[in-house]
Amino acid sequence: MQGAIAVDSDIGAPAQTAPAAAPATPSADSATSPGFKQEVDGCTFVIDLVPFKGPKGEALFVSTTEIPWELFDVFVYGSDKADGKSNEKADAVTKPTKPYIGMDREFGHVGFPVISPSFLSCKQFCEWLSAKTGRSYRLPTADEWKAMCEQSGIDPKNCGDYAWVKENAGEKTHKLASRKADRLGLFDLFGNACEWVEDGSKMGSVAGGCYLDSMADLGCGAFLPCKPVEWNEIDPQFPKSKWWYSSGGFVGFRVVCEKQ
Amino acid sequence: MNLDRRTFVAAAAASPVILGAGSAAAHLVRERTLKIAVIGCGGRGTGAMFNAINAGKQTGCTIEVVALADLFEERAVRASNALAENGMKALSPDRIFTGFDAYKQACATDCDIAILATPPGFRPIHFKEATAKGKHVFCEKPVAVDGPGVRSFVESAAQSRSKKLKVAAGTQRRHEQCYLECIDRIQKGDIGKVVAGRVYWNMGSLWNVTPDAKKSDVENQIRNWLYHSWLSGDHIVEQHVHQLDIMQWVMGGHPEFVRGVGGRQVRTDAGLYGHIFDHFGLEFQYPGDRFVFSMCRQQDGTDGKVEEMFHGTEGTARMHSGYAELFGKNPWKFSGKQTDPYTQEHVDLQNAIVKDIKLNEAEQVAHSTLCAIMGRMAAYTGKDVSWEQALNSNELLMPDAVEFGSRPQAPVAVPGKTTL
Repeated sequence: MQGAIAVDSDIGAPAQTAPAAAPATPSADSATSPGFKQEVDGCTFVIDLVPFKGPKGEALFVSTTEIPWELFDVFVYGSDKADGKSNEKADAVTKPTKPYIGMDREFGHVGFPVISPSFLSCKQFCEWLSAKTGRSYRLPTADEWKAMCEQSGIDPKNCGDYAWVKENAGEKTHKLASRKADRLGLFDLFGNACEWVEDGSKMGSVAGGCYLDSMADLGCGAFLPCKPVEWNEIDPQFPKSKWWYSSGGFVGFRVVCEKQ
Repeated sequence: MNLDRRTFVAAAAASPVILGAGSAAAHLVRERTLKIAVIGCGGRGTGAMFNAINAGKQTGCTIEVVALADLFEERAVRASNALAENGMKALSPDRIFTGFDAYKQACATDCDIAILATPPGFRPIHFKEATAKGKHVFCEKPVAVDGPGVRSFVESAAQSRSKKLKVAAGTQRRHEQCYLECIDRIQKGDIGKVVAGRVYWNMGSLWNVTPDAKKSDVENQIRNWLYHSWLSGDHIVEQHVHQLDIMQWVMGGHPEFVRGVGGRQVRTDAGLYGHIFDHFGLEFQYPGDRFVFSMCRQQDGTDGKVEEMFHGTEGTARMHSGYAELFGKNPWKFSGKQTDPYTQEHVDLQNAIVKDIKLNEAEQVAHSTLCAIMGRMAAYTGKDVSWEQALNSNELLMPDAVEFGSRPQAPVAVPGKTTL
């Protein structure tokens, strides 16, 4: 996030589970509840979801990867509707405007995490995905993101094997799942795109840092409130887009689901 | 010697007494007020208005919006309300002008700068009027949709220069630091002699407005202006002109001719998407057996690419917004912070006015626009089109006078049948 991560009191604290050398094998929890795969009609990408325990010990599922462009594009451009693979409820969800510029910044598209959508865009995506699939999807809360982070087994200060960060990313996003998975089976929890979380605010916050952030600045409890003016600095329109951040080519998201 | 106020201030600002290093000079510069008229109050025109206001914070100028003009009243009123919502004064009703002649009323005010941001087909007559009235101009791209429009714009550009007016164009890459540094290095020979280029604006579709049966053809087409070449020039002109402007910047001079293909495979609904194409692939031939390949596409679900690359005898340059890199004998990568080029173009314009720095991008952007127009002509007709053919073309897409009423939609061009 261009060197600016807001931190809370947890920054610098070691992850509560064993740091470093986190095994890429599924945990005991996920062995008993292995998760599920979510197909989305009209899209080739299948969302892989694994279980984790929420902040109160509740069972939740989270996508193993950040949401990729090829799925978000279906939402934005409505190709599922054109292909007769949509439904009335999904069609009724308000969609983002189509962007005028290439929001992928030439980093890569298919197989790469979506970058630049606003908190509102991602919340609407979850509405649409829920309408498409019949399951209830949403963004994680900040507490949930922190909980999955603590269960990931990754030391954020030493996460280079697991994350695309400033030290190894070359100032760009990389393909999903191209670093090691963490203990939960999640890819790119740190780095690559930073991830929208619900924090009770209108504009949202992001977690996990991105390809521009140093490992030293990452932490399970480090959340950065949205900076809509800075992240939309180069949108030449007025009003500036509420759907896309023209200078925010680092914000993305993953989804959680409460029931399989 | 009859100096009007603008000429006087520019001359005064250029004087060594005022531009000296002393604090008095800085004080005088900070005192400067620049009055702005916005002609075309859509999202871009209103955005440009705020870019200009923000630029004033950097240039030390106080920016005062004195006129808002738009064909549609609600657009101009919305821009006025936006001023009020952002801590400035809304304009009084007598400073809000609507209708097809609103630009004349805006140019008749005491504005120093006219921001021209209507659909591009109107640009030549607006620029002509602003120049005739002695206004500095911020002019969105493209600046015409046909050969006659380019000729008119170039003629006005000459008048603008002779009046020592300043013009900044909305080809904002010319004001973006990574482009400035990279192309400076190319021009110094860091990739050797440039022999070829590849430029792209490939992406999905843009917004469209569904026609309203209660509105006239002309109003429906203007509200859905991207898809009618008399207003937009087609998407190669409206959007890809950015890359063709970089092509012109790097290659120098202008292309001898262009050859290409294009068509309309995806956006085929004439009710929603007018008659324009949804893809073009072109080859611009420059003197010295140099060429630039250009591709633009607006088709959902296809791979995106918005970038310019140039190949030299000793390396390659690659650029897109916020990024520039040279490969080969003299490797280099832009490492500065991405600047906001949309504000910077107004910073440069305001500085040019206040400090009398040479800045008139009118002819330059007209020539880039002509490159796009000749590309469209080549794809529409299937014929090689020379620079002179495009420039001297009598194909008039934009009528001399426009009013609300009937206007049948233009047919989709058919290569081999559509004529120049």
